[in-house]
Amino acid sequence: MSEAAGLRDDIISKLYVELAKFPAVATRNDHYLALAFAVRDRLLRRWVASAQRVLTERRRTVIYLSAEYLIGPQLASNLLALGLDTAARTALDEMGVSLDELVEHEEEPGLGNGGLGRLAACYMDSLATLDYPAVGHGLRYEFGIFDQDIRDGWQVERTDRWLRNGNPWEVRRYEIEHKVKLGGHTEHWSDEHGQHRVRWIPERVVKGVPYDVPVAGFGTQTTNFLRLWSAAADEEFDLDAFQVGEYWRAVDAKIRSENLTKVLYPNDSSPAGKQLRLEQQYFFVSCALQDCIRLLTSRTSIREFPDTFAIQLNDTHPSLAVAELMRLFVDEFRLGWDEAWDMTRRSIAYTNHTLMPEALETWPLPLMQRLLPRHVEIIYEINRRFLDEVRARFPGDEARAARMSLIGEHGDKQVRMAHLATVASHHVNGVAELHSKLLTETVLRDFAELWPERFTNVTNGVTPRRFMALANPRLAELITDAIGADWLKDLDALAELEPFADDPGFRDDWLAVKHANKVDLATWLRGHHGLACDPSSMFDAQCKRIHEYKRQHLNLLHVIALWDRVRRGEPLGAPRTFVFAGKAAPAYRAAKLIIRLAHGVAGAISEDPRTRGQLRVVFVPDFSVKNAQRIYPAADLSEQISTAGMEASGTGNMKFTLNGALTIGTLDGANVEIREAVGHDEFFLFGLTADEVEARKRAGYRPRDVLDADPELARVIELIASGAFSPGDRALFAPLVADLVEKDRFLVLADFRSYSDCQQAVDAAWRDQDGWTRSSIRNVARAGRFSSDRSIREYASEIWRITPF
Amino acid sequence: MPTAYIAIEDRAERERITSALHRRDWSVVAHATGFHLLSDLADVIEGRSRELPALIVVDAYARGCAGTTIAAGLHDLGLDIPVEIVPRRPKPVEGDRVSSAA
Repeated sequence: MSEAAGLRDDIISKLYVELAKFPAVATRNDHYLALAFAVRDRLLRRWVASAQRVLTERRRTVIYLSAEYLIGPQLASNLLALGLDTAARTALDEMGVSLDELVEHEEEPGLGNGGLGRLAACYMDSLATLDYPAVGHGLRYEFGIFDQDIRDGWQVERTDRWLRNGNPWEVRRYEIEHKVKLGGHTEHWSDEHGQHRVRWIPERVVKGVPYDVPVAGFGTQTTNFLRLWSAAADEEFDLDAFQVGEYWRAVDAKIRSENLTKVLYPNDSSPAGKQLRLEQQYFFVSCALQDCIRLLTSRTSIREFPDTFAIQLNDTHPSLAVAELMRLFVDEFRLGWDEAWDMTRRSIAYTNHTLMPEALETWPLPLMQRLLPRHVEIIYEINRRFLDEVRARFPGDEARAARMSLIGEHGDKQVRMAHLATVASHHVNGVAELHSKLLTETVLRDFAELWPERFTNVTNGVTPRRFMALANPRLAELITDAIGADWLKDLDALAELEPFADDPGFRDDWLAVKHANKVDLATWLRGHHGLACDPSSMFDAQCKRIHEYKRQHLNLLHVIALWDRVRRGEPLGAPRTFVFAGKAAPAYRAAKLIIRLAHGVAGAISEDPRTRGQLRVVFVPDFSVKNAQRIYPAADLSEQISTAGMEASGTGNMKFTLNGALTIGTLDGANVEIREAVGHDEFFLFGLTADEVEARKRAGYRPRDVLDADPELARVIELIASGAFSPGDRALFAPLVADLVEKDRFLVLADFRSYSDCQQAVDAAWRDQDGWTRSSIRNVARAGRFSSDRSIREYASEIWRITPF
Repeated sequence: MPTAYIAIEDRAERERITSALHRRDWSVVAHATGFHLLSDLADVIEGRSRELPALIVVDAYARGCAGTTIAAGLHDLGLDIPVEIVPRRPKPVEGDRVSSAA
């Protein structure tokens, strides 16, 4: 029987036995679920084989701890990994069902805010593809990142209900559960050998139950998994309370426990008061570590922990793992402190994701004491021993000790999570060369002076399976026709495309692929959102979270300047469509105003007949992995315009580049390495460098001075202030204007002229379509190093010290 | 006199609720969007203006900040302010068309 016939039989069987439907009455969701179950069966066989192999070969396993996994839709990626895409299409065709419609139908698990969560998903993909055993632990949020609606130009948040139709990809493990203590107090006592011991008497206990999601490697049998933890009540129902008539109290614990994993917190909002967020962080690291220990001690000694597991902290959200691991070693397994600390330090590594001091996570000490009393004791003891080391190394330098302390003493006491993670990690890495360098010069400078050998860099990467093969099948096919199919597992092989840049026929094909992708996006935008755009115009895209440091408003100032030139009768460049997409954190007012301004500008331009066929602005609602896969392949120009020194790496920049967009950007994050890789002539560089940004601030930056010296910029600001983009409401953008003119913390005005001039260079380059296409091909050919496979190989060899199967 | 913040898009309904609250001796700060309500709340929470409201009435799908978002945010901050969410379906997407066809 052919693969397609076997799959078709399985799909029909799943309709009957899993969904109790026969084909004639099956809905689209039934067909989707039936196909997903049929595919999952095949995944599970691989997964079980991989698990057996890990056990028998006793390989060190990566334990990736991340509060977010933005895994995107799973059906198409699993079909690709299993090599079943053609068979599935054939099987469904025979049933009169469209595979494309089922792929489109799939609800995306929005278990992350943005780049950090997507990075974790890319890394899980690469770990499996490269045959490294790994488990990704995280949280199974019932409600993920909100869905974004746009109404009258305003963002409206809509609850994400990704589980409403069921999730066919997960397997609940009923036989596994871990108890997680919260609150209460500690009791210190001496055991029978006179050893000092501590007992934690919790106020309440929550039960963690795992849901496993298989992650199949591409072109290999290796299948790893995500283990996402969900909270449940330790006791489902308080019978005592029920019997005395307190019906509410009888179910209160259940409701309170289940709330713990109810919702993903949006980032860019203050964590103050978010006890639940701290509970989430502790909950999943405790479940993860208890689970590791369960597996370990079922076959060997606890002392094998560091040789069995390589724990990677994805940012500081899981950094309570440090104190929890110490608690488990010392309190539960009665190891001595020094041995426990040595084992902890040999196990844990930490990835830093931010240079912005205000984004470095801290927790109020009283909150942590109330919630995790034993962990605070442990953190204090770690801190005491650590500061002894600092003082021994830098005698008399109390200011340094205060700066490095795990406890911040400015104002209310805070636990500094980045310091905790750094002190306990054998390696600390940044996520781009510039970021890693700045890390050791700014926020973790003192630590780098103490332990320079711990600090390293692993530049982020993205999986070409999802962001090229799945997102851009036309381009993938063209590349495969030219250089063979190996590039999907060896992205450096894209270098073989380089000579094709000089092949006119290949350039025509390349251009045709891009145009077809733009037509697809334009068709989807018109059909789903009533937005019109011309595929023959340049698609100039900025798609990422809305944040002041990412400077979507700098882009908008340039658009307004172009509109102003039209109004003044000045000639305009080539036709452009400015594509924006991104979500603003719900409480981030400035970001929400930027979205509103984008729509105001879009409306004003759309209504001005002089811009017809020249300028257009579209804001694509609800930026998600699925929607990102529509935009990246269609973009001609990628806007990576953050204030230098503020973006740790970025990965959207890589996704755009690998899909043939040229980049206009600052020397920030991984832009620096992209420019080095693709060549200085193939990258539109503008703006202040990170050093210049700092120097400008130190010298007393006054945005008003910039405004006074640039009449065009002054007119742009005046247009916003005058209500040109908020008819009838001159006050609407006043906070945005005031911030730019009075403070401009992100140096938007300072970089405007350089940006605007650079855009003129973009325009000139675009007019030479042949030259632009050559550059596009060269960009892709030279971007192979931005594969997450390369990143994972670096982690494996330099940090985790693991080898593949 | 207690203060209520309201964010109701529909003008007639906003005025009706405002009048009803005035008749019961409430002071009312009324907006058409959730964004402006969010701004007012943030100003109070960040200490830049007057005291917190005693009641919030907001459209479920208020523009610029949904009512459910405001309620969840206040809960996270530990602020025990009653939030009355007006359950109205979003309007058709007519106003979403930021660029019309060429």
